[in-house]
Amino acid sequence: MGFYGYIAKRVAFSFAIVLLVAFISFILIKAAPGDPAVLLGGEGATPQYLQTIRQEYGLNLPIEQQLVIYFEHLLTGNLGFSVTYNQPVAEVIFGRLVNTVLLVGSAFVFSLVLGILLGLVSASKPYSLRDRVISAISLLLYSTPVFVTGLVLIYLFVIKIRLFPAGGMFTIGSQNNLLTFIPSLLYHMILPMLTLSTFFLATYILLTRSGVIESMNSNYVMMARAKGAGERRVLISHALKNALLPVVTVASIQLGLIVTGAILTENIFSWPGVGSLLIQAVDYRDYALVTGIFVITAISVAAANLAADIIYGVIDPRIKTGA
Amino acid sequence: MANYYSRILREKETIAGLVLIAPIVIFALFANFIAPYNPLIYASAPPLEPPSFGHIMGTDQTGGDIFSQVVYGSRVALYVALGSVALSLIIAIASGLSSGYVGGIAGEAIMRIADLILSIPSFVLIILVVVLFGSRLNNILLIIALVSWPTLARIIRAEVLSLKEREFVLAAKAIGAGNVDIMLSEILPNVWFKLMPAVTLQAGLAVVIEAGISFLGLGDPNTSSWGRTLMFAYQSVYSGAWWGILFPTVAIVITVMGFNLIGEGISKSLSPKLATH
Repeated sequence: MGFYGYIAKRVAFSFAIVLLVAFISFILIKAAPGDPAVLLGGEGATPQYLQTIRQEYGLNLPIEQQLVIYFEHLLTGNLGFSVTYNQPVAEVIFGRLVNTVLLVGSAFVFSLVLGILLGLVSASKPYSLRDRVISAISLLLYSTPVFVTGLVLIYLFVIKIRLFPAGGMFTIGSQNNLLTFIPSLLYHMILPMLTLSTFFLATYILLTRSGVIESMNSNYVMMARAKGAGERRVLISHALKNALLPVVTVASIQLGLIVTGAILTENIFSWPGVGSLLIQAVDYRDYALVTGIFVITAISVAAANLAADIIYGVIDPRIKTGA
Repeated sequence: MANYYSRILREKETIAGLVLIAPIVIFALFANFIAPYNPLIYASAPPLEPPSFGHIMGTDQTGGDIFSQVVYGSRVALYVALGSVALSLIIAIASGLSSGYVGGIAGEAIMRIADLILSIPSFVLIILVVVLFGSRLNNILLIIALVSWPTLARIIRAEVLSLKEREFVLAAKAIGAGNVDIMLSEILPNVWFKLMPAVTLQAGLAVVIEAGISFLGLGDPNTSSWGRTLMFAYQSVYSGAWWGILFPTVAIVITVMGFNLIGEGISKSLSPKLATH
């Protein structure tokens, strides 16, 4: 199949996800109780606006034509209009997307780096005290939902020790100067980032640990040892390198889970991203905005998955050669 | 089969998991007898009272008894976990077995659909469904099942593909057993134990998802979920009322960790290589 065939297949798959998500939202709006015009426009829509929607989406046409119209809207980037924000849905969401990407991205990098590091420390001396401590903490973090972690961190670091702010993204007034803005941003981001990191941190520790332990017993590591490579070199350039493939795989599978984590974390720390926007939209019954967020998060996850697939294709020689 | 079960029960992870889950199961079964108050009736006591003999886990900001909420919350958690897992198993067994055993274009198509569903941001989908259809607990359970079966179906299919050329299956075929018969009586029992770790993991995840939805205030208003108790605790966190956070947290962590440990015990008992360590 080769590398380009593989990429083409993944691109087609990403496109299929977007179509499926559009189809699901259409079916849901059609099947839900209530006037579809309201479900497309939002509870706060005026009668005139509802009339416009009925015409625009052809709500009196046969259902298969409605589906075509709905798809045309989505594929041309028209996600509808948010009544609460008085702006196109796409614009409202893109205004918040940067903040979410900033939070998710930093949590992802943090948990990946620290997770691989701790997994390596754990695996370098399996079943020692430090390995057992790291494994036990990982299991605890793995079983703790992010919103629980967030609550506990707020209780400890905001209320008991008044070390961090409870929420928001920066101190008002600091945004005019980069020298005051960046420290303020980091200061506000530490707790939400830690919260979002914990679950993924645990996964990466456990995966790196088991991967490294397994490859330390493999033939190629035995070979490297026989050639006289030092333990540290064996551990890092032979065992770790091969243990990282499953970490990349799982990291890309978990992108959907990180969305869940981000929604909860943003709401706990009033982080002004798409996740807190979603719950506001729910409170205002702004159906167009909720549906739009569903479509946009699906596209974002598909895009990130595609990026992970390409990275995988580059680092796994079996895919490049088509073997 | 009995031999398998005794092997699973010999793993210390399984035992630890069962010990953790046991009180939750007892709470869920006997909630009416254990809980001193109705968890949904507010103002049964002064608000935000610390733990005392009358309210051993204290009260929330509405004066609700937290112990009663934790006890009834076990019922909600286990109902969602078992219900969604059972439903997702049924879909997964039907699609995984047929996809693996019959194969061909139809088999491939089922797996592509499964892959697509795995890529949908399911938490947002659940919120969308709750907004459009209402927040009944069964709606939440149903969507969790509908988005989680593909993981199980993939495992089943992979196992079926490797099993269907094995001697005992060929032997059954040779004596004239039908396809459905072979799938259910020869292949399914062999897939079952490979499937269990993923099933327990999914049960834990279902508990977390339901609690998350309730924590955001989108849960079923007629049920007392741990997520709901935590939502109240979050709203009154500045009063320093730690008891509203601690007790439901312990309940969630115990349940999820219990499920995870049971799953780990099962997979350990199946792989002799890791068990020797």
